[in-house]
Amino acid sequence: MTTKRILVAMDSSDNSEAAARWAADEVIATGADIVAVHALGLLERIGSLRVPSQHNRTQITWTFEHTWTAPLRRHGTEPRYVIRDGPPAQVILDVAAEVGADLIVVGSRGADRRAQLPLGSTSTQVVRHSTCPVVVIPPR
Amino acid sequence: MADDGLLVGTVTRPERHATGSGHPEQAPRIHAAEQGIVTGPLRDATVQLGTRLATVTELARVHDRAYLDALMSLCRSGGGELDPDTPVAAGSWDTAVEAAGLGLAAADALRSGEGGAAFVLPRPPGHHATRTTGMGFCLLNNVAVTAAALVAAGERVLIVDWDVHHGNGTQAIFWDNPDVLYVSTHESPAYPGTGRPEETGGPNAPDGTVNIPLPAGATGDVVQAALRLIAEPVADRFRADWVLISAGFDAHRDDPLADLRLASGDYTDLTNIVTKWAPPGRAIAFLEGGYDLSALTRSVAATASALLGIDHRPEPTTNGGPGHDCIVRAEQARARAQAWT
Repeated sequence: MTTKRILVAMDSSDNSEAAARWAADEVIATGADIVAVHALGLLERIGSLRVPSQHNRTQITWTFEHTWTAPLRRHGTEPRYVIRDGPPAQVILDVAAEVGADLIVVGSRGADRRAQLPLGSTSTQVVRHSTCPVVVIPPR
Repeated sequence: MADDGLLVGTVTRPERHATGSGHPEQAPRIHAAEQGIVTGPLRDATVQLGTRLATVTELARVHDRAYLDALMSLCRSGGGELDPDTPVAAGSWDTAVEAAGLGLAAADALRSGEGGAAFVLPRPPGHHATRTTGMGFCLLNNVAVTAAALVAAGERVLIVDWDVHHGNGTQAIFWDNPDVLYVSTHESPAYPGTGRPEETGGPNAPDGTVNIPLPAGATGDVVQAALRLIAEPVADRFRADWVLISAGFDAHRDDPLADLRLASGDYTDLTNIVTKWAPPGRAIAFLEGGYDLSALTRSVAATASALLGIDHRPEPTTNGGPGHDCIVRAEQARARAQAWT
């Protein structure tokens, strides 16, 4: 299978940065283009703070496009950015279908490392419901 | 018990659902909401409902058993989170089950002829919770649990959701149920990203969902117009036996989580509109969102008073904001979507 489009899920976590680095390397290896997606919940973690997303959309969008996704650009790749309201797993799956992703890259742990519902971690849901291959990147 | 007073239900220990420092969905919200009821013109016209826990059978009408088991297990193991917005503590299951029982107790009492209307203050809120998961601060879908119980008893239920966020969970649960009409006004774009006017219902309920998304800055006159022009004709056709209100107050202009521009006096008008969509004595309001404590107190006061026909407006109504064109587009989108069904 030739990978033509990679979707990488991004948030503020170190795990997400690891996922971005892996995806960037995959772009070099395959020549695929890349789409970065971020799901906007009710709250967003910016540093150690948890802020309302709706009043901080501009800042969150800037941080997503300039900071979190920086590892994607280290080989000169310019990703497409998608930011969308909704629960992370659903947003990732919806955007993957919309852009025709051949591969989804997601971190195994998001910005909050507390124990998650066994049935419902974001990466678990994406793996369970995706119609294309999913690579789950562990924390470094 | 008085047969024309306001029945009020609250969770006994809302702090058991610990969301952590800095989270906007905190236990003091319940106290703030209670203040709106007990310090206003209703102070001598309220009756406290007794505690009634929702049973697993009642919860399973709207939630998958696997989710209920997993949520209970997560709490018993000390808690965690369902998503980055939705923490779960050791005490969350017990709190949520009590919260889900508030509307059931209210429905039982009203059906027995007790009280003129009810206002319940569940915590955590519920309208984002789907069959398979909680999300968006919500664990169990409180309004849906009551609606499903009423439907099981042969009733037709109209749910009006004026929380600023679309109630994706409630919509999904009753998507294909012809005995429930779900009406939502909400800000868009905003979390959870659902609630387009084209979402009108499943094959067995093609007219069963009414979504009216509104832009940032929309004022109370816009929400009123949305309800009167789009929702009311559908409600009139539906002929509800009950109206349940997902009464979030985060559309208030002081709310930190969203950008609509309502004031507490607007909720008087909204309550007056929607309570006419069901027979007298068949209205229950369920607290959903609302994160500015002062605005919450004022908005609950206005709504609770209006439930008993008392006009109490801590703040005047609002008007002049954008959104009237969105109402026109929403009606057109609904019509197009239904033309294809």
